[in-house]
Amino acid sequence: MSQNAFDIVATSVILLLMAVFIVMYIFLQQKRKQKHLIEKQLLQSQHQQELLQTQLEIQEQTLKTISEELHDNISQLMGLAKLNINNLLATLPPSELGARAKAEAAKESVSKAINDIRQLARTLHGDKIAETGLEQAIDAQLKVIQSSGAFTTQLIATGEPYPLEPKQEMVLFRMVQELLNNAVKHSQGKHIHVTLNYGTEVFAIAVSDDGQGYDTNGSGTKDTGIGFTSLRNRAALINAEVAIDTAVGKGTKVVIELPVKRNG
Amino acid sequence: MTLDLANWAEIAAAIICTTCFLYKPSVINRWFVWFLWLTIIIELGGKLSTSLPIVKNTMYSIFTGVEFAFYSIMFLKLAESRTNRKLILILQACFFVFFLYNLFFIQGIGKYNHYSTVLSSSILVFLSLLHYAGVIKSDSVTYSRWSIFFIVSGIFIFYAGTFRIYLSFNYLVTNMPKEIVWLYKLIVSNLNVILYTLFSIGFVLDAVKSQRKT
Repeated sequence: MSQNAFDIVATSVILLLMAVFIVMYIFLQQKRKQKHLIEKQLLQSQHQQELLQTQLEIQEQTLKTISEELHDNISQLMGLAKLNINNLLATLPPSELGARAKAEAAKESVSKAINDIRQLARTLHGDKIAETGLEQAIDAQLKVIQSSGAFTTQLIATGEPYPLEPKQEMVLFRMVQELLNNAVKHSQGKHIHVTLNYGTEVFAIAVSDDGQGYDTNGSGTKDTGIGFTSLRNRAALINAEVAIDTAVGKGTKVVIELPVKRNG
Repeated sequence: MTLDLANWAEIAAAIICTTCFLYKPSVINRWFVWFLWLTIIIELGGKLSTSLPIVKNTMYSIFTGVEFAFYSIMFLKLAESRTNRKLILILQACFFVFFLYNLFFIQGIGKYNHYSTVLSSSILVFLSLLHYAGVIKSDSVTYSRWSIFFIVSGIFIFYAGTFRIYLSFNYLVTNMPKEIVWLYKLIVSNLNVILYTLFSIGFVLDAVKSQRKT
């Protein structure tokens, strides 16, 4: 082979090797960048989860403090007021019909207030929710709404009930509380319906009302949008998913689905 | 007419691209499907017209322009910065001025216009490097679909490898004994196989990624 032919082949091979080297470098650099990006996203997601977890813990602690304050302080004071009314009733002569009737009415109001405060303290206290269980806690919450007279409520559970983790029960209960609160404040409906479905792979809670509903694409959903962002953030904490089904004049139905791992 | 390994690789790439296009149409396979079949027609036409060198050389020379137009438009579409797009447009204009001048006044119709091939190769190598530079500079991951990476790499390796051979085309044709010319043909043929294999990988990845998205 002549010198010139050798030069051509050698230069071609060198250029080719350089090209292959550049391609390999770009390939590895992009792979590294992809890996780095995935790690960064994972860290961000973990950080977000930790932040949400902390927020939830702070909120739970605050609610617990309020609950204890209601139970230990306000409730005790109300009990004392009831005792005083009883004493008053005992000292009032039977002839003082008007005064006795007023004292009886006051006693009744105080008794009702004591019951309501105890009920409220129970729903605010996370440990109490864990003790009573999710279904009972939701039922109690619905009874409070029903007692207002503005709504009729219904709770239906289907499937074979199984226990959830305390954290899951707590988060789900707070989500249901928020949904019930939304329904009471915004729906302008008459009926609230809650279903719990103990499925084999998914535990689902559906909260629906027969209210005015809303347009999910419209501008009037700003507030509810924020509310649902908070719901979705809470759901993310327990790997649950939230789906909303609503339209103007068609009521609102929110479904929370939690994947469950069951043995056997 | 006998088909060599490069021709078979080219036909395989065209079939893979067509299958991907029919299965899951995308911007990439929609553009490449007609271009690859056109390339096969030109290659087969070249093999059939061996006894008519004027026809063969003219066909290959004109196809050099078509090929350059196709790849440079692809790089234009891939370019993210305005400066790069302007640069590509200027290079395209310069190439076509030279290409037409060469076709009619320098090497002429009837001869293989290898000056145009050399210029086309060097511009395409430069555009590949320009694309890679943009990829390295970018903070985000450019290749969400690795299909583009394999297609650009095929073009880059092929033109970087054949550049020197086409630069000495006259010397090879006039001075080299046939026993040595086969070596160059072997290099070009193998680079063609690499080019079409990388294209095929790109088409498959593009289709797989599209499938995952749906």
